[in-house]
Amino acid sequence: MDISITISGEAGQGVKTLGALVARVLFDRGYYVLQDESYHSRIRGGLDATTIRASDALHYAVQPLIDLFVPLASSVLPYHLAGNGHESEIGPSTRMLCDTKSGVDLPGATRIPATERAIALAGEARAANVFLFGAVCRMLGIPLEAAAAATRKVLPVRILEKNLPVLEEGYAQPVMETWSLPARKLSHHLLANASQSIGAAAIVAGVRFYSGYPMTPSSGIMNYLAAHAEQYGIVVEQAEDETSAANMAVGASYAGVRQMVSTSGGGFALMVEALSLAGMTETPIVIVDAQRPAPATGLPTRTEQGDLWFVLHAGHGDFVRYLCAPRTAEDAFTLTLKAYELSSKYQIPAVILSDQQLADTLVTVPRWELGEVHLDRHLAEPGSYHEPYQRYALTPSGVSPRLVPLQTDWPVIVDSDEHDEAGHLTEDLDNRERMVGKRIHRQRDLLSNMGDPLVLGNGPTLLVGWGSSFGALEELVLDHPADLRLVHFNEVWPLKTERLLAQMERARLVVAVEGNATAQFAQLIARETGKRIKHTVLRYDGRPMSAAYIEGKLHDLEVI
Amino acid sequence: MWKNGMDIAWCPGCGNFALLDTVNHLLETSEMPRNRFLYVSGIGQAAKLPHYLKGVNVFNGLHGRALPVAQAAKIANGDLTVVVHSGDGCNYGEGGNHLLAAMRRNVDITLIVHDNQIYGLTKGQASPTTSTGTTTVAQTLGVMLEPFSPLATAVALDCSFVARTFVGDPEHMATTMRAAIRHHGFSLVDVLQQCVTFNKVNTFDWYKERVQKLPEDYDPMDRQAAFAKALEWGDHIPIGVLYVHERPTYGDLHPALHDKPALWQSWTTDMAPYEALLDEMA
Repeated sequence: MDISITISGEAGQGVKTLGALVARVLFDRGYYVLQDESYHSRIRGGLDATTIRASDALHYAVQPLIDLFVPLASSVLPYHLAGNGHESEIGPSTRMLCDTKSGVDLPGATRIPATERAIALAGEARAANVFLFGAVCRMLGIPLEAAAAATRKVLPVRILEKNLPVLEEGYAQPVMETWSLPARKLSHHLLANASQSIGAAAIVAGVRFYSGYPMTPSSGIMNYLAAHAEQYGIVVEQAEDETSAANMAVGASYAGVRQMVSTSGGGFALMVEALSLAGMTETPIVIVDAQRPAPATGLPTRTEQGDLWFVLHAGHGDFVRYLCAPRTAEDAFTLTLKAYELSSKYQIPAVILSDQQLADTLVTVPRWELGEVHLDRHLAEPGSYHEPYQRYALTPSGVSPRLVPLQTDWPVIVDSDEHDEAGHLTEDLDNRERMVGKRIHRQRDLLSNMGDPLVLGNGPTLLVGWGSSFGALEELVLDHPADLRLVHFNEVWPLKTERLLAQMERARLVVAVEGNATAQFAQLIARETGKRIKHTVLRYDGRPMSAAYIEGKLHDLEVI
Repeated sequence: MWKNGMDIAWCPGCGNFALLDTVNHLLETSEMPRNRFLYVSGIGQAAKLPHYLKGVNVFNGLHGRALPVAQAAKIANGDLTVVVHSGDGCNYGEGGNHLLAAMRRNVDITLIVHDNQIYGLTKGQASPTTSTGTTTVAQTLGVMLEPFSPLATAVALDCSFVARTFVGDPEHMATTMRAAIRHHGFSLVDVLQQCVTFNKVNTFDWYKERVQKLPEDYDPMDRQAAFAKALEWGDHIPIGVLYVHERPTYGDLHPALHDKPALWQSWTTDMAPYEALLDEMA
């Protein structure tokens, strides 16, 4: 069982509501659900589409061929009919369902009077989505009670009662019951996107201060923390600009609070000087870069893995940083916790490289075990430092015992200028050499905390990927285990290369698969190992990677 | 130059020395222990002042970015008394947007601007407060931009406490700065001071001849009068507390801060409260 349902309309038509209803009913029936979002940078009009993939196996990427297509407006058809790179979204097997009022004129489409009956029954054209939902459930072979239960969970209470008759009549439409989706048992699982899993992990990690400036596709994290601010005593401050947000992050962390900042590439550009400040003052900070296609404003609502090279090098001068790139929403939770741990332990900035695909795609994940979470702010314990306290006391590891103001009676002195052990500015050039050494020495210890990349499959062709491309790559390699092998990174700096090199030795052909135009990760590998990866599959049209897209490109290379 | 056993990076005759003496006087006469103070600065000659203080917390950050750091530190650790010292270029130029937002945000911190109407550390370029027509190494045709009026801007933005003082009157400077620090809300003190090396127009004597204390019966609650006073500049330059608007601070308004222990102390390793976050996703 593996079914993909696409709902597509103009922004404001209710694609989100119908999509949420379909995802909810399938999740509650015990299927692994994946729901992506594709939208334009506007509030009304444009294209707003969502695809729900439900399956009895866990998937992290969409597949492009639609099984059930629900277009809400004729204007959306060219986007789906034009195909999708190598992928064709609508094929001979695609079933179509639409409202008689939608203006959609596709041969073979089932038309039902959704808007007309919604107005008659609920006095509200928007209730047409609930009517359509009823018909979708009927086509999927889902009982009305299950559809009603999902509706009760998704719709606000104040509009629920008038929508239930609409659902029932939609369910009673003479549509063909095409599928059968019996209830399955799927306990101890959650439905989350990476905005939610990163936000939740931040709260769990003790974040009590968030500073940021709204920017798609990162705003979901800010909104998540804001929605939970009252419950958990969090200060969420929308700063005047990203420069302020990042400097606030350093100020809050200096004063003892765990913080979070989230942004996308353009906002990260304004945070670069504060990243360097965190490096110089040895202040732990955590920033999320939810990547979108760039340069400049780029494609605000689309996805790309194009900021790796930028974030890796952002900030003037030499300092140590930790970069992770979660594979999935599930992974994002774990890596966010790790980013806080390493940032605090090594007193360095950490950047989580997410992207629009991860940020907006709901996916079924096993429930995280909070009992396994161990938190440590790594603040100095009494007796662990020499007195008088010096913030930058030289130590063998380079990391000095860190106090925050009012933790003890000792003042805490930090400086963006080159400084002495006490934290006061000095232009003593011998001191400079000691301090640079101190700041960068810790990279070796940090590297020892990096996990190995994941390896899948046994084939002679080795695919190398990182971050959110995992879902598509995993699906492809599991389909072709004798042809393909995958080595996949979710921690990209410092780069742990042993396992990669061993895999590259064994491979007949190595292909870098990335969501950017210049194979940035392959460039990093070349720099770190001296091994150049000549073959690439690169996607930079703003759409997420899919197994079919990569497969098509590999056919061109004649490796499968 | 050496003072109090410290190698101080200011020119002989710099207005910053009188300012430093006043800050030291305030710390010596304060009932609060020194480690309750956090001095934040940006970059510039003024921004070095926190390094010359004893026993206080110091965050010497980036040029123009002292205010975001200071506000966040106060939010994170409300038990600190946070004072920012930086120059006219740092606060009125590079950090202009942060200044406007800080006045609106009304976090309970104090901003002391060392205003000598010139860039000193970068050696003599115009600052936002340099008079129109002044020629400098960079503005060789004379400054064409209208000078920025910090006090009029502050009154316009309903800044909670707005004052001006002069390094030539240490007593007035101490009184004004003490009142600003004690004020509950965001306080701006613009301190007129000479730059002996680069500002040959607005000299110590130039200021001395022009500054006038506000009259005894001046009402700083009167916003219209404050705005008129804030615009006065020329033969007479008013000094004193121009405007006060007691209003709730960010910390008074925020439920996570008001009547709560300092935010940084809310640290917990108990995971039980977080299961609810996961339940929501089920």
